Amino acid sequence: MMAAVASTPSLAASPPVNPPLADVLVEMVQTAPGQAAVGFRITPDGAWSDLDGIWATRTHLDATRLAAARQAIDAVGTVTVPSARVTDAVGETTWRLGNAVYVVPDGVSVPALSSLYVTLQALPAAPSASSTWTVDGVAHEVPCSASFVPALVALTSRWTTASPVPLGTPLVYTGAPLLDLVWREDGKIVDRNVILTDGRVGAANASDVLEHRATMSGDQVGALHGALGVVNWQALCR
Amino acid sequence: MKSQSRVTSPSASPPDAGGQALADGGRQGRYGNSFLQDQLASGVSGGAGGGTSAGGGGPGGGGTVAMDDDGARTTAGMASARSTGPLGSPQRADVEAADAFVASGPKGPTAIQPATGLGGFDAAYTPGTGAGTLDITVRGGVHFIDPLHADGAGRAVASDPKYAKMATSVNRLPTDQRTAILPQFAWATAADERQDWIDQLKKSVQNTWSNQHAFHIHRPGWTWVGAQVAVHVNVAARTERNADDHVAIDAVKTPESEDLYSYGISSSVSSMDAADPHDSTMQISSSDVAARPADILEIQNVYFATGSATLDAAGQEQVRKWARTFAGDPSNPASHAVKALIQGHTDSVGGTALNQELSERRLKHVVDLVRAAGFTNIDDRLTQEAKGKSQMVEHGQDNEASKWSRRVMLSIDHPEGAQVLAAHEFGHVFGLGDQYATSDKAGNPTSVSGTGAQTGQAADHDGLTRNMLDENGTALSGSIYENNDGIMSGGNKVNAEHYSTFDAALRSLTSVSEWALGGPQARPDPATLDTPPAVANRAP
Repeated sequence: MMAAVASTPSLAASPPVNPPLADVLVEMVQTAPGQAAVGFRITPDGAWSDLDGIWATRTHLDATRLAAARQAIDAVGTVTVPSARVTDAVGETTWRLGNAVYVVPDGVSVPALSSLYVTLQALPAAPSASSTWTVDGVAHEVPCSASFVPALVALTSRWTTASPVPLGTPLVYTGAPLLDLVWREDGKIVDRNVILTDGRVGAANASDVLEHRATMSGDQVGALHGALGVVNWQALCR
Repeated sequence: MKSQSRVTSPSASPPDAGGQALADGGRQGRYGNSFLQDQLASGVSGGAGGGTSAGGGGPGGGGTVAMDDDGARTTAGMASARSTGPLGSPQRADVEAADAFVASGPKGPTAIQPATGLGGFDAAYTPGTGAGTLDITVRGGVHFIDPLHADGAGRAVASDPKYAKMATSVNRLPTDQRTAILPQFAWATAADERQDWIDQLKKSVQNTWSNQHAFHIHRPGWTWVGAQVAVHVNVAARTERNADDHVAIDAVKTPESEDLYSYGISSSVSSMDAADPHDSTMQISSSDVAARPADILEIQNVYFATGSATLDAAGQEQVRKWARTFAGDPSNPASHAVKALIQGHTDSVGGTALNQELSERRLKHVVDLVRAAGFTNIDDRLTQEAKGKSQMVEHGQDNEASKWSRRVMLSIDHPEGAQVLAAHEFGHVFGLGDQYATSDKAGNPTSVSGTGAQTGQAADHDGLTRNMLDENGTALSGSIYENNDGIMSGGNKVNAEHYSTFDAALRSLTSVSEWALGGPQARPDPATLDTPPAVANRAP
């Protein structure tokens, strides 16, 4: 179906930097008109880079994980990309496996490459996620990713769906907020949220000051307060 | 290159007397159109259905029927010749032959591979006095896909490389938003959500495509034989493809207010073998069974500075792009060029007369830009209204808020509402090509991307459309790429051209080539008609 260009992500695309084939174990790059290219690459030294408009190294695979990556790549063998007529497709995925290059149009599945993708994506060790939820001045440590805790997912949904406001206004407040929430990866702060009793929602990443991002209604604030009060913080990550 | 696609009949049946009678009747020269008779006699088909008529070996005769898929695209020059023109007076033998056709009973179901090489479906025709039915059935399995899951740190990981862009976009979000949205990329474990989705899919597609146009047989004495179109979507949840499935559907879960396009991923249909009606694959999002969150035909506003009737550069470019996108090809007889309402507005500052005059100048400025960008037939296509300050946008009285009132609104007429993408994608399963235009007639880009083409170019089903007859027996003018409210373009409207593969299936099934649009007429009483002429080869 047709896509309105205006409705698609419009990050300024940087042309991917392509190292010599010999320097790449595997690379996947997805491109589409008007969109930033995305993908990933593993080089023989174990460096794992992600592409989101520009390439950035995410991690280095240790010897065991790198060996697993090589094994998965070798297992692919020769790939046949089906010749299909695809309607409404707007982009394509280019795979480089050693000296082989495969171009897969949007909408076409190549099981061997899909399987390789899933195997490789599971290799990098995920950072350790944790968060601190300070409610009415009492701090509660959550030593796991909130994504796996339905009660916390439900809580976040209460303010992330609040009416957004134009960004750029610092969140200034006095007194204890209803909720002060700090998100960490490997012990380092990556994000912070502050919910005030007047409904203002503040957000900041690790290096920024809090900005007023949204405003909750009185009813929403009351519901959030009530929901925070019934969380069994000790049992969340079991 | 010419190639042969095939219509296969799952159940070989005896030769169909009614169908054979039609083929013979077509050679009697009763229609004042020697071209059509020559076509029938020589076996040269203007399209799939015509070919089967001549051969007399259609599905009713069992086995397979070859369909010349190139023929459908080479019929441009014979559009007028395809027309049958006004009908002569019916004779008793005509009505009796039609009676025999109706009495011969149902035709099909038959697997149809449309001549476009896209999609595939089953078709069956059940004749009846005025109320015959063409049943179009698509069978398939629905594979419910969770495109994302969380890694140990709560970051999104795609379940397939097709959804890598989605994972990247979600991982750009702050942690709280990512935490809240990630579960919305997973179908509920309870079966209810999935069955509800299947029910909604069936409802959306069937309601959009059924009973939009009717057919009748455009022959003297036969015009009372009709066909109403009923579309059936027979899909169920399963991961394995059944041999007789026409399509395998990947239903990708997305948040309710988003779709795959929100992440730069296409909803699409792919077909591997142009001759296999059972090999299509569809990828759609969970939200595609309802109106699109981003309606390509949605209202656009351009805003003005206080007291100004001239847009800034960005506003002017927005208007030019709108004009290029929707200029269409109105001089082409196959065009369904859009009509639009353009309104000029002001804020509350100043008197009524002053604002009325200002809104008129704003309106004229925008219309001038639209015209200069190549949008033609302005007087017929654009309804222009200067509203002064009578319809302000209520955002308070400060200047920032008032700017939303200082506008010209451009609103495409599309009463069927925003497109339901699932209905569009099923159009591909029915064998139709895309019709949205990625560039205007001059080659300038529109605001639309995808597998469309330049405005005015022939669409994949152009040849099949030219084989269709309107209610007067005149051939349709074809199908083109153009941004309009049509289902294979940007809207929800099923035009007559979008029944072109159904029309071809009907001709193929029945071995009748004179199916035409329009409902059937009353059956004449044979007793009141002349006796048949003494023609030896008239059908039994």
